[in-house]
Amino acid sequence: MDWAHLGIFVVVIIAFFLIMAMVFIWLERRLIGRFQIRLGPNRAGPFGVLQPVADAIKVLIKEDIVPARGDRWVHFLAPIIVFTPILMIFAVIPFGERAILADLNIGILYVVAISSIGTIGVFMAGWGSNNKYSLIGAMRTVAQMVSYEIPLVLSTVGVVLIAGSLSMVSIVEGQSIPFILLQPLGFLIYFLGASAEMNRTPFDLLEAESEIVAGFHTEYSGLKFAMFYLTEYGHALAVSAIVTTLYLSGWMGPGLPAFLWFLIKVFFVFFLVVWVRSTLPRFRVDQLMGFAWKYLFPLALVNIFVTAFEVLLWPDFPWPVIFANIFIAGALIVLWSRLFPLEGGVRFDRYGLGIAKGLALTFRHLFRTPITVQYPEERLNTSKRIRGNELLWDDEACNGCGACARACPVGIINLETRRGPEKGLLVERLDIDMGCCLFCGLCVEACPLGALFMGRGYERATYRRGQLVMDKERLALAGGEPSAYASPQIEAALPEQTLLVKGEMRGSRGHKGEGRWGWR
Amino acid sequence: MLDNYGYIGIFLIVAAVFAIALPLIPYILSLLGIVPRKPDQVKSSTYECGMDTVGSSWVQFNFRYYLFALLFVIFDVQVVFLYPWAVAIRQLGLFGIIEMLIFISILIVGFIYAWRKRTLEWK
Repeated sequence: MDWAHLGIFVVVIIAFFLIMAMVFIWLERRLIGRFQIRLGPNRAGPFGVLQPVADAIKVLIKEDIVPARGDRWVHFLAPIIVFTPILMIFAVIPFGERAILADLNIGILYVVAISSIGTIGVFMAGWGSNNKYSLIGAMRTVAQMVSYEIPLVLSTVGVVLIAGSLSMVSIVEGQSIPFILLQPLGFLIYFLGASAEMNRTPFDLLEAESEIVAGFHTEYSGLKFAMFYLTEYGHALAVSAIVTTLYLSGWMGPGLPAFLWFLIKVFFVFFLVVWVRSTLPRFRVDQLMGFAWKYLFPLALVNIFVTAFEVLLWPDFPWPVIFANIFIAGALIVLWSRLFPLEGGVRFDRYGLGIAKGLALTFRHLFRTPITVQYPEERLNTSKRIRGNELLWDDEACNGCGACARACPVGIINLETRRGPEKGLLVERLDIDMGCCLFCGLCVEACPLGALFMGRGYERATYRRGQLVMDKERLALAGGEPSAYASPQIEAALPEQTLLVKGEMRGSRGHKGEGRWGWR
Repeated sequence: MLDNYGYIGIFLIVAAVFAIALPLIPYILSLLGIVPRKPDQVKSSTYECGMDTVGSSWVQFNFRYYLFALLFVIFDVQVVFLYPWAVAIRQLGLFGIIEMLIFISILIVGFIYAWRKRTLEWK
């Protein structure tokens, strides 16, 4: 037993896991932002890199709430059981040449075995919370696991066939040609199965925030919730590392150091995962089960036997076999969709083109200027005729007729006048309670002299409701920006409305002149 | 070779200790007064729609899960047989492939039966 080796790798793996999980959290949020033409988090630190740190501190000092009706112990143990196996996966991941904690001779089997333990933890979380949303999430986990696990495991058999070994190191060393070229179908099936295993969209049925609140971790808060969150990204990291090892020739690559190659490939796979996530909507449970059992499972079996024959006939895989394999993969996908449509005649190859289009669209979004407005620093010009907050009153023009107060449907305009020394009325008091204002604009329309205007502002926050009552001084026209609502005489003087601070907003098909604002 | 399993065993212990230590951090911090600990009845009630929850959520499962679980167990065990076969395929040769084809096709008959019986549909 080499204690130095053990000590170094245990520390390195835990540090790698925690740091990379935080990097992934930041990267995913930024990437999804760009895929959706937003900016993503950018306030904490340069480019928002400290965002996960800020989240971690916040989550660390939050109260730990345990549901009264739940099972305390199961509730406590669940995050631990979810977290531990994901960390354990990294024991057999080769980070570089000889940079591996334990080169087990059953490496793949170990990964497959240990990565499905997390499901038990997720189920415990759902069961121990005694919450119906959590339990639905937990049931979905089980339904999902019994479906995707078989194709996932079968697809790795193809890799084992070619490598002739279960050890992760031998598999990497056997990849003079990356196995993604020899096993295109196996790669696709593994990628789909792994997406389901790490519960990412389109397979995030068990948390499905739009349906069942937060699914299995609805009742978790504080650091226990953070553990689920960390596990999700740790699992994404683990799957990226496994895909890198099994299909992308691991740490091998020309020029750069081994560890750097490994990292580059891991980031590439994670990019794929985020890309798919930001493009596809969520599956339904029965769709996922049907897809896994009727589609992925038979294809994975066929893939195994095709590979087995190829291994016997052409042991060193000449180039024509690679092209033949890609062709076979495509043909099988299309053929199986034709022969065995799912319920309602759903054929998966029909979706293939649509999915490719969607992926291309989201990819193009990466290169577009984000439409995010950096609010306190940047502001958009409002519409010229906006009925914004705070009415504005022209002292000079007003003759105190009270038409505005009579027109107000909610009666929030309090006007007191007295007879002036020469003629007409002088306004003593004018109080408008903006807290009750409907912004209907009837007061402005009613004013015969054009002495009342709507404001153009859109920020109205006070510490006390009393501060929302505007008096004569605060309504003074000089202090604010009047809107052109019902006052067309000032319309020409106002700045044009802006919809974007930077760049031009165009529709996804790039039709420029269509509609005034292009986007809608 | 056995060393490797020793590494895995020790790493399991380290990982488990690490995982158990994490939820204990807020507990220790709450003793120091950094993390609040003010449980009340409403806060620790079940998160639902704001009303009191009706009934327990510890219910029985739909039996259809059971059918899927059965299929899952059968084919998961089949995969366990596939791994050693895959490692030794070069020694076994064509005989091995035919042997495995026969083995799988027996299981596939059951799978086709389940498919035709609409067990794979959630209705």
